Amino acid sequence: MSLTIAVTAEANNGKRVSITGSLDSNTAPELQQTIDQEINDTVNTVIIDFKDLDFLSSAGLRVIFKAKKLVDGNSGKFILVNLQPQIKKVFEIIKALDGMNVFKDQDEMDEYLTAMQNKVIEGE
Amino acid sequence: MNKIATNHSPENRRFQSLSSRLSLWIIAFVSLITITVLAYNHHMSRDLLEKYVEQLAIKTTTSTVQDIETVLHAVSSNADSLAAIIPSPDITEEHIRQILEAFVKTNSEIFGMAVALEPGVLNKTTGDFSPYFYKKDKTIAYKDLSDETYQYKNWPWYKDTKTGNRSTWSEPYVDTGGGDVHMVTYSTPVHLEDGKTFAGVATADIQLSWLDEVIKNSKIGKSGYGFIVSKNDTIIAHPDRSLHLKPLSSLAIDSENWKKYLNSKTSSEARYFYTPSCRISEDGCWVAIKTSAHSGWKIIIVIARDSLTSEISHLTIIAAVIAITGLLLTLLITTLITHRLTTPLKNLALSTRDIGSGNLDRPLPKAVRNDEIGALSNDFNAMRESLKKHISELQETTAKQQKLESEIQIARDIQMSMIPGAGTADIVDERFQLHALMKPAKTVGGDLYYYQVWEDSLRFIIGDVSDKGVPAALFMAKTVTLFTRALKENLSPGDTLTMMNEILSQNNDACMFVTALCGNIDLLTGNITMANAGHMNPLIKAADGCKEHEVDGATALGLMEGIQYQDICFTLDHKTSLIMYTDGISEAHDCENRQYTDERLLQLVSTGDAEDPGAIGDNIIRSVEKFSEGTEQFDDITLFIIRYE
Repeated sequence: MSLTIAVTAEANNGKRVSITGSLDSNTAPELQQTIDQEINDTVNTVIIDFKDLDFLSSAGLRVIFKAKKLVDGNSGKFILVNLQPQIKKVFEIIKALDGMNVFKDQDEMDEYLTAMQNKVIEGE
Repeated sequence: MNKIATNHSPENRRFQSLSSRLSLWIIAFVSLITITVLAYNHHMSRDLLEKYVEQLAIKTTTSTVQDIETVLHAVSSNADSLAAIIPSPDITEEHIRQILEAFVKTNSEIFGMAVALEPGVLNKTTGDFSPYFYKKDKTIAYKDLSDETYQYKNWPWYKDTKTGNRSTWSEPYVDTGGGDVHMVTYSTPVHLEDGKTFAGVATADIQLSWLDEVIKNSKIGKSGYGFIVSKNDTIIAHPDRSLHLKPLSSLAIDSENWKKYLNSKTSSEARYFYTPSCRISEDGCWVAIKTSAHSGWKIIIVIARDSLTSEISHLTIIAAVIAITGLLLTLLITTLITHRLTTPLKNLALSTRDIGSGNLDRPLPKAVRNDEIGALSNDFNAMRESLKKHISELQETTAKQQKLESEIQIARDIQMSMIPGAGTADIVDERFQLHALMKPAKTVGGDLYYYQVWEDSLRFIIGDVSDKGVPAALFMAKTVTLFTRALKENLSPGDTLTMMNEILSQNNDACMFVTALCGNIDLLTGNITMANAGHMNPLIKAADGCKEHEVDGATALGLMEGIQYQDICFTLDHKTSLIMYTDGISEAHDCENRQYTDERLLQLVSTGDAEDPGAIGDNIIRSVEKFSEGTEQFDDITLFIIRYE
């Protein structure tokens, strides 16, 4: 099974990485390469969209964690959205969802992002 | 190999060299053109020649007729003028004799002249009167034709002229009295002054020998000749003198065919025709006929057709000889050129065969010419060099690859030596049974298990490093080392994982992580203490079935620092097995990319008859292998089963 990666721009210097297919040890290097190219310290928010991902292996998880570490290091926001049950289960087994911004769908994520935005404005 | 070599050897195929094929085609093509040109030329030349000969023949007959008429006219006009003056009363017999002698003397064409008078018509004479002057031995001889021996009035030249009362040219005859010469005579009547009354005849003789000169000039080509026939078709001049005075029919000709030309009313026109029957040629003749209006004589020129054909054929043969010589030269030059051109190609072919059989060391002779073949030769040489380089590089790479593989094989041995039993372990004890199996997807893997029996306790760990292959194997080694350290320090399972996580999380930029279940069984009581770092829950199999036993834990090792892993305690009943595994089993894929799943594993173990850990393990492995038949092993597989007796 192959992996298709689509990167789209989001508001506030955000980038959405939509992954389709199977993220396993064969395809993980492709995602790694895309992330290395697309994500730098100017990107504030990185959204990984799992909507059409069918399978996630530990090799894929490693790439996600590495991306999170990169974004966290840049003080950006790292968001996982549209996790299907079997994908969510993979995260749950290794207990990796604590400390992650995970949203079940677009609405929930938008709500969170709006709230964060307001917080910043109020803070100023 | 032998078979391939045989199929490609030149002996086994119908080999035709480029040079011979090219030469053959060029020669065939040029020959075709040459033959066409020769045939056309032959045809056209014959047409042209025939046309030319026709014109020449017509021209010759016409000019011959003119020549003859000039002479005949000169002769006849002498006789005419003599006839005109005779009736004059001033002219005496003596005068007539003098005039005759003078005419004969002064006219070279005239052989002899005579006057014969009708007795009693003219007043100058009462009896027969017929003086005749003629040339004899370069002098002028006289003869009286009125004597008893000759009796001129009985001769046709006199009688016919008197009867017809008009001028005529006689048929040729042999003059027996005058020296056996062939002659013709022009006879013209002498009239009284009324212009009607017949008073005698004036004649002029002409020898036919001068016509021989005339027809000598009418020769055309080698075989064409002319001859002359009289009004009544008697031959009066012919190159073959024996035919003189013979009838035209004595020539072996198709006289019927000729007749329409000979008797044609439009006789003043020159006629030209072909006759198939001809004395001088079996192939027939071209014939030109022109009739003299003055005398009724016909000038006939005959040209053998085969002489024309042979002329043209001769020319064509010369042309053909030149053409064949040219063709042979062309063949020679073509062969030489193509040989020169194809020699490098032959070398290329040889070199290709060498390369095909693996010999890349044979260099091509350097191309001397700066043309396409030279370029090809150079390119081929470059290709050979490049191939040689690539092959040597490939050999180097292969050697490196082999070295790497052998190194990885050694790495596998080392990895396996790091875990008890080197990948498979079975312990049968009166207190417990243990079965452990680790099966990497590649030569080395990231799964791990470890155990140690110490006094009355069995301490163990099962783990799964993210990803597989060499990076996972390195991380696995670190994990196993940390676990053995924890064993020495006698840490509880929770503390063991806490310590391992602290160390694995440091400087872990690659974000490698390990899921692990760590535990300690009291072999006297069956009490278990376990800690879970993001690993799948174990299964507990009793006689009445199998179920998942939740061991609550925290994040996998290596991802986050500062995690405190909790010890979870429970008791394992006698004759109960604790089954731990990695996701290489639950996530095994089949041909259609479906996963084996935890549920299928639970179902298999629940319904299986096997009680011993080894048997349970074998069942699981068999089931997974059957499920993923036809695909590569998806991930490292590890099983760790403990049965409390």
